Amino acid sequence: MRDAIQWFLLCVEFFFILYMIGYASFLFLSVTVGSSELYAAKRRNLLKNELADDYFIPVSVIVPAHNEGVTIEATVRSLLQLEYRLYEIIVVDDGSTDDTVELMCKHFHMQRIERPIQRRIPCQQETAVYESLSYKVPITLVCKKNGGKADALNMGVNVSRYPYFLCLDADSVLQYDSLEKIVRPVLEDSDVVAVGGTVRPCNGAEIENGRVVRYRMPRRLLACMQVLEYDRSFLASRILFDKFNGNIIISGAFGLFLKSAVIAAGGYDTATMGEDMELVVKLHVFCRENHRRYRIRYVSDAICWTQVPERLRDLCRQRRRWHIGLFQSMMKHRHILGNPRYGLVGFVSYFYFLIYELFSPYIEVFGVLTTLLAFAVDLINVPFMVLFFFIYVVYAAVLSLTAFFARVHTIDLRLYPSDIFKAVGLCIFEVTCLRFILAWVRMAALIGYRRKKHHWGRIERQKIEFK
Amino acid sequence: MGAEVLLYGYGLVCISMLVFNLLYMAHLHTDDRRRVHRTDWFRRQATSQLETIRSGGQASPRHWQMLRRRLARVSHLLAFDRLLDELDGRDPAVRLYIQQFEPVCLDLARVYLRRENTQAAYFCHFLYRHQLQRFMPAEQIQQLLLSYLQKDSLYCRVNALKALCTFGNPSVVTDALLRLQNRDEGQIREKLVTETLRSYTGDSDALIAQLLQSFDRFSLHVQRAILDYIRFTSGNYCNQMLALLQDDSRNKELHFPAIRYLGRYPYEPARALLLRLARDDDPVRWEYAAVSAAALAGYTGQDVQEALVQALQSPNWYVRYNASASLERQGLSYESLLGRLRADDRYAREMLTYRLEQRRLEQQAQTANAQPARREAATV
Repeated sequence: MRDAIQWFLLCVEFFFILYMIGYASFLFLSVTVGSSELYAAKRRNLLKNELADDYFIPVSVIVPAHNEGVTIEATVRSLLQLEYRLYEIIVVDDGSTDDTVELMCKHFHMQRIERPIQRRIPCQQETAVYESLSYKVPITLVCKKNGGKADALNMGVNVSRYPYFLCLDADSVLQYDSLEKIVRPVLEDSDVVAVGGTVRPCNGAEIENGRVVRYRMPRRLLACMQVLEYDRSFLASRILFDKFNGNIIISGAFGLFLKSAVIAAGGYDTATMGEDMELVVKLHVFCRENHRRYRIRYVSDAICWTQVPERLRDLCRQRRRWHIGLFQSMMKHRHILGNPRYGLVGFVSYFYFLIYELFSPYIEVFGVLTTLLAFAVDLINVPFMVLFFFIYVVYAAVLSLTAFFARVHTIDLRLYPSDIFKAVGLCIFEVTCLRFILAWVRMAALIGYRRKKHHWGRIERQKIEFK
Repeated sequence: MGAEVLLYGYGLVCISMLVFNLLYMAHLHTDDRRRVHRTDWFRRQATSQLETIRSGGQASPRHWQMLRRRLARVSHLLAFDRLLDELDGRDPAVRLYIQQFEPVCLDLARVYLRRENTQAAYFCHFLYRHQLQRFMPAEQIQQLLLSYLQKDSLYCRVNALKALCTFGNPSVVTDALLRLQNRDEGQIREKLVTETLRSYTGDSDALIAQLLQSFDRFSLHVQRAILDYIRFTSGNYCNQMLALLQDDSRNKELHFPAIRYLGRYPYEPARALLLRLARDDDPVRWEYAAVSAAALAGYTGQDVQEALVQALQSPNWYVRYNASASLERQGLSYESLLGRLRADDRYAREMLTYRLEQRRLEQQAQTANAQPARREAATV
């Protein structure tokens, strides 16, 4: 029996060495490439290697909203502050039961209008359309029956006037220049069908006229750790994957798409919770199967500020939803794994997301359980285990801090000393505690999947203060 | 053991990156200050030379030599860029100073051509931002700028084209466009070309004449961009646009900008053709009908209204949408417009109702915006 356990643990050890080397190498490569790219971008910016604001394309900004009465006014006001020549704002109310519609009508002088809508993608029936032409750009509010975020986005696409649309979460705000920056890849290359921007937590930031005038780490520790986590994840994979057109996710909070390509690919999938990732994978599949030249880009300096959950319960709900969405998207497009037709997208991106995102919670929890087993049968070298764990913590913490500082300094945010201490202290806590809690949550996400696969869960919003 | 070494190695590099970050942070902190100091230094140098020029002398050759040496470094060029912002181009001494700067500029153009793309792009930006062509003929600089169009960076190519546009030489700009399309295999984004051409500071009619003369040498993308540029610049080319529209051998992608042009600048000889295109109910040619329906907004008359009412009944959404927008711009009343539709034509009725409601919203918004202005005027 002991021999069998020993043999089993040897196999586990071998697997984990490979797994960790793979992950460490990936993180190392991506943070190195990401950091150098951020500094190169800053230099380009300083030396005016950019397309000035007299180059633009018209963009429809679509904001799906379901019970967003707390944040919708601030979000739309922030959109009106954007420094961009030609855009429109479309808010799609997805059957809210709160006062979202009333607030929109009250604050933005919306008037009911009989507007015919061309349904190029199927979506739920609209119940009312309102428009306002009292501001610098037209605002449209479409009220429809509840059909989920994907369905609301499909309605937004149907209503939109312009050839490109930008999706934005109702609890997020765009920096004043983010629209100008996110369209640049489209101006540079006509093959670009989608562009992802950077999402940063706004908890703690003071935003005035779309500009961050004061940046502090959030007061709540949980939100602080998410700042580190967001910076690492946006720096880690996205810039690296962008190098070989391999990004398979654009955050649903902030992404620009070529409308005709999205319509041709069938629009957002209403049957999945991870509609943002599903759409991007679908665009890869559609373009490759139709032999269409395409690029999916990521822009690090187009910034969207979003609220992150400040309570653990809300965070767990959010991550459960993300994990289910990831599972649905990956299962739906599983045929691209290792398929030469999809090039590096199938070999690298999909493989990375499968092993280090979808399966990682199971692998991590399995690792903890086997450690306990090895401890129980006295087959573990405790000093080595402690040393290994220590190296892991330091390594992950250093990478998080590298990403954090690179991100902060390349967008000209000034940090207070207390924030630096907070970041240094919490990056260790994030790696040693939060990561395992979230691994457990993600692992449990698929338990009862059939029953809960369409249930989003409610996350408590805070009012966003903008001047 | 191998795994440990690898992890230690990675950790070491990551710590180096962290240290780099901290050093970079310190560098950023001092960089702005250094640039201010450099600008001050250049200001002192330039001020003494300007005084010499004002007193009837010439700037010292040592000054130009110093600029040649220093401005070859991009950090110094950035500081000098700031200084030029401060100088008043209307001051005769400044004009003379910049005229005498031409040989330095020429040398710098040679130096930055050999530099990496980011710096080369910045040099082009420097040239067009200060519009140095106002003070110097700079034939040779223009020839050098044509070589910048071969660089790998799109920003460098666009900045070089912009800089060339500020020199206002039509044949050089035409040559630049040809080189650019060859470099980009004709794939350059039309919007970039159109907007860059709009920064042309010379005689736009001379440029348009040159571009039209070489029109067939351009790729379809660039041809479309040129047509858009003409549409935004001048209404003197209706005849050429009509001829292009009547030329069936041309790609339809060229016909559409021509139709838009004839919509922006109404041209009576084009009326019959536009009416025919708007009435065309061939589903394959719906784009012609849609663009023509929009173009007819600028034309008046019974025949136009009839064609638009007919287009309003098209099975195509875009044709109906554009026709309703054009009918709305004819300024007819709601009842008069609805009276022209068939009672059972729900789609046309919906579209027209929407356009008319939009007109109401526009008028309300105008009134609302005018009220505060009136109040403000009354207060004053």
